[in-house]
Amino acid sequence: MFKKKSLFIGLSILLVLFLAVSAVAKEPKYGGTLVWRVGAETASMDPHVANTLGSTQLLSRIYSTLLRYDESANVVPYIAESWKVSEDGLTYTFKLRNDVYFHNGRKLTSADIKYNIERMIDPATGSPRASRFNLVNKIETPDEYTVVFTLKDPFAPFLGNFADPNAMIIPREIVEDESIKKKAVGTGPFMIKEMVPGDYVLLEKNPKYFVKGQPYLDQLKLKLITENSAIAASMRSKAVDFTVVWGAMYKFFDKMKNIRMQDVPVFAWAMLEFNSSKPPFDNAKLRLALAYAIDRQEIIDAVMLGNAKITAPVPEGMKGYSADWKTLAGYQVDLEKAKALLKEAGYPDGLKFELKTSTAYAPYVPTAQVIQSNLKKIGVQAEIIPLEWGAYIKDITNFDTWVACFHSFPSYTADPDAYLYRWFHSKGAWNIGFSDPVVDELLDLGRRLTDVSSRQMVYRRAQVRLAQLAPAVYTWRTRVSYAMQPYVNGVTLTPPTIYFDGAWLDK
Amino acid sequence: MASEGNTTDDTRRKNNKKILLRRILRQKSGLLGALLILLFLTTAAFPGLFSNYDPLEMNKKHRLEAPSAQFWFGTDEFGRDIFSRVIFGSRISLFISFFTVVLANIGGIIMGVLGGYFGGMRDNVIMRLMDVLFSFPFILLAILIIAITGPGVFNVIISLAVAYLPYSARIARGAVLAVKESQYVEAAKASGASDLRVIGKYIMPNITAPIVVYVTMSFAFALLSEAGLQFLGLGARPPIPSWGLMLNETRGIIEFAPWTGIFPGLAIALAVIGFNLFGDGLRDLLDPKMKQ
Repeated sequence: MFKKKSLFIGLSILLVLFLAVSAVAKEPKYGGTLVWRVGAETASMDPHVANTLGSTQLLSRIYSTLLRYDESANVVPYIAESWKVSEDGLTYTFKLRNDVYFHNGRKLTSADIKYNIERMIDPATGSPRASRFNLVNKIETPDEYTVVFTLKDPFAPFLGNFADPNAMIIPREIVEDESIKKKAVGTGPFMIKEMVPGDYVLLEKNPKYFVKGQPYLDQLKLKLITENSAIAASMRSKAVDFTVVWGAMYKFFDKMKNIRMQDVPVFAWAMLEFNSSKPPFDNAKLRLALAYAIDRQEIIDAVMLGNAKITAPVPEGMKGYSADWKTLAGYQVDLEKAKALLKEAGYPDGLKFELKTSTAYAPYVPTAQVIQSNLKKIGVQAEIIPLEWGAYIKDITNFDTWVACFHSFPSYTADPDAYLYRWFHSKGAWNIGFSDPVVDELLDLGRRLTDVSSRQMVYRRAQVRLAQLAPAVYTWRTRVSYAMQPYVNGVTLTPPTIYFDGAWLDK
Repeated sequence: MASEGNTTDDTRRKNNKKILLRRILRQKSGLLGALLILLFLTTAAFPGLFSNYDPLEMNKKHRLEAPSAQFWFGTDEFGRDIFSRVIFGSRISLFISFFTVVLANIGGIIMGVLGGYFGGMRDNVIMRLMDVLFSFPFILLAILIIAITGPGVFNVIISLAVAYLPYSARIARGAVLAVKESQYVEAAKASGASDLRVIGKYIMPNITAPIVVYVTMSFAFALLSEAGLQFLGLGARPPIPSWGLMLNETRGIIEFAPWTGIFPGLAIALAVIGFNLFGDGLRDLLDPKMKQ
């Protein structure tokens, strides 16, 4: 009996292995140019300063990071081939590969890692990633290929920060000769060949890329196209091989033939933020009243044409950490409750406020319009102020020049801390004027704890508390897919970004 | 004798009226233009008469519906009735165009007439100033002004009026130069009429025809530029219905919901054609060389 069973198991394992092998039997082909449609250009060539999606898309082809995420958001080796975390969660030891070269020919060593993290922490650099690393007490380099980070306090999401595609490792010499402002010298699979502003960036393969045999492509072209109908047309005509699809774009791609679509879990989100630091929205009841009046499903149906989900602050994909949005305060439309809260808050006749948003991204103004129409039902007048991106950022980074605003965020780290701390902790880097001792305590605790199940509980509680105080109304989390021509293979689709080092063309 | 004279005068006046009426009726395209303008003026003045729906009302149940008996022009992604939005959109378009044209032409004509009439240094200063404005592409100048003043309906009017000023100043100056040397102006000057009187009594009436034609035509121009600025999001704020803004909103969905773009586009086209045809007809009517 026992023998039969083990024989059966053995045979099934063989069968599975055989199937698996035949599935990947196609050998990657070398050569060719892949055209990747992007929606924005890089705002800065300095990876430590850059803070936009367009920058990440370009620069993380050229630079590499210590670690990276795989397709199921696990942290995997990249420049570091292995790592060890001490029992007390205070010491992180990374072992680096010894075959990593910068595009200028110099070998990468542990001193480069030390220099990079120090540069990100240095306030003079002005890196938006400083707050992720400033818990580092000291960085040691016992030998050329070992780096040891010692933290001041345990910091559970620390490892994920090295896998953030924006934590790119740059060579010190391009900072010293200031060529970093216009040049990119990394360790990644591609190097810049040609840049035509407003049109495209052409990258060519790095023959000395440290992942052996990769990249397969000769060239990768980042082509700038922003109009949905133009994107659809260029996919149909095969002028573009690969593009991201989200929101209203699905309407074009759902009908398209001979295009492969692959959904990915995405951690980006869009929220209506209130400036809790000054009237009228320093009043938590008023904020919650508005949350109860906003019909998220209507926004999703009208603006995203159904291709998005209602979401708790921490995305559903992060099981255990995400609170069930159906149980959170203010997540389901209840106009009676909204009116009652409005009265309690001292605004029985409603109020009028300015809702700022940007014209830079297609869904923003339409979403603001649905919010406006929803709020009208409880007598609240939202006046939409659509601004150009630069002016918008300038306004919302100063607490005196905004009371409410709407925009979306991408996220590059798969840790709940990344969704909450920056906005809602009173010391968060992008604090939106909100401060609550309970939330602060919970978020601090979440950073210190290393036990997964207690962390999950802490973050779920933080989300319940945040929903009640409603410093922001989470509207939608879009469905995101990548659409590609049938001959495109091997693109690594991770939640924070995509990698083309394993990509190849079968044509 | 006297009564006889009166009769001939009367018949001549009657004849003149008949001729004028016949000439007006002969301008078929001009009449069509007038009708179109009238149509849009009516919709702008009484939008409630035409539309059954609130142009701002979002309706979850009727999202992106094709034109039907219920929604003549279909609905947009928010379920708003496009017919009502086009009707109400005529308001803001005509409002902006009207005030743009009025402001630009009052300013332009004053400058043009003064420059043309006085000549010399004053003419030079005014016209070189106009040349500076001329040296910017029209729509870029308007966008520049809005970039300084910020978006909004009144800022659109101001910016278009300033950008438009040099055009009407040139037309007015040209017309003044043409009549300035004529003998009746010389005669008026010789008999001691003041400058103001010469301009008001002898020059203005004789340059009215080209200016009237020009002002009418400039409506079409103002309407188009207004739609352009609205399209760029520099004019009215959503959800106010405006044709240009509607065209902007349709960009992402026009491929599978073409009615969201066709109808506001058609409205702009018809209004512009209306003013152009009317202006053409008016020119034919007022041009003495066309008299038969």
